[in-house]
Amino acid sequence: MIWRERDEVWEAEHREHKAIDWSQPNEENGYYDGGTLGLGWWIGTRKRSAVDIAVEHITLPDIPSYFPLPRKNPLPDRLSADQWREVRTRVGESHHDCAMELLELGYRYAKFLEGKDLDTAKRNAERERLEEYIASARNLALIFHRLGEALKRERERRSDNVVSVSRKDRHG
Amino acid sequence: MADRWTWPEYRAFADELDEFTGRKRDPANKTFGEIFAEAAEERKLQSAEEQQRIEAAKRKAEEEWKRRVSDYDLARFLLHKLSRDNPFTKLATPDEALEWWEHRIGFTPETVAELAFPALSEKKLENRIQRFEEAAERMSDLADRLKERLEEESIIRRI
Repeated sequence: MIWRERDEVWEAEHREHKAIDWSQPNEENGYYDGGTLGLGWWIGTRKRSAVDIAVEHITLPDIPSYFPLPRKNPLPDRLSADQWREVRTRVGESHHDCAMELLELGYRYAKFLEGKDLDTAKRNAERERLEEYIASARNLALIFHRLGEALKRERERRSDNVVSVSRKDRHG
Repeated sequence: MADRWTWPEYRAFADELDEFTGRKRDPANKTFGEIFAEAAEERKLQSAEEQQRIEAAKRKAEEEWKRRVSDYDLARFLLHKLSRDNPFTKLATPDEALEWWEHRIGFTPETVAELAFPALSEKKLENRIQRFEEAAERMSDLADRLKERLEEESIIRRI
């Protein structure tokens, strides 16, 4: 998952919390008769398939958000060819979602910059941190430029009738 | 007059006095219900044109306020919102340049574009390309201006 605004995270957590029925203690709301939270995690994990666990571990937060998977099954003893294909499909979906999120993030930032008075920004920049501001602005300019160029290239490919299939479909 | 007041007598007398002194007419003595009811009536009495004019003025003032605030915040936004921690900013940083504790997103602008592209309609694509180009220009313009200011500052310091 890509980094989100703090408020968005809190809202999502709150929504999740509201969706849970807290009236009676049960497995849904984390109560396991005679058990602990750790046992709960274990009961949940035991119910998951190998594909679920593989996907979960590949999309853990300490793994890069974009982590391209090889076509060849790296764990043939653990996962069958079909299972590996499913893992690739699901991880590919996650990559696709992250990419969309990043693109929309960029779109939002670019929109924020529209019609802003740059002279005011120049005046208001803290004197001690001017170099940081400059580096940040150059970084942003570079990202926007590269995004624009890459999208243009894709558009050209589309106009040349080169079929570009999403990674999601390619794995399936 | 009675030697000792009974409550009804006292109340009647006090009311008369209040009426005389005008205390009853004091808005401070009104309940909130009364105040709001009067305000609603006043609002009803305003003509439609006048109401429109007032609302337009309010909206304009609000927009102006927002614009001024966000102009002021632009530089701050660059530093705090788009700091090194933001994955969007990491698009420009190669993974090797990150410290070991920093999360690697693994994406580059090219991968983002490639992955997101099939889901974009023509219109959205055009819109994004145009906006990104403009934003890139504006950002490098801002960087140049900030550089100018940095040079000015260093000259002032030398003097």
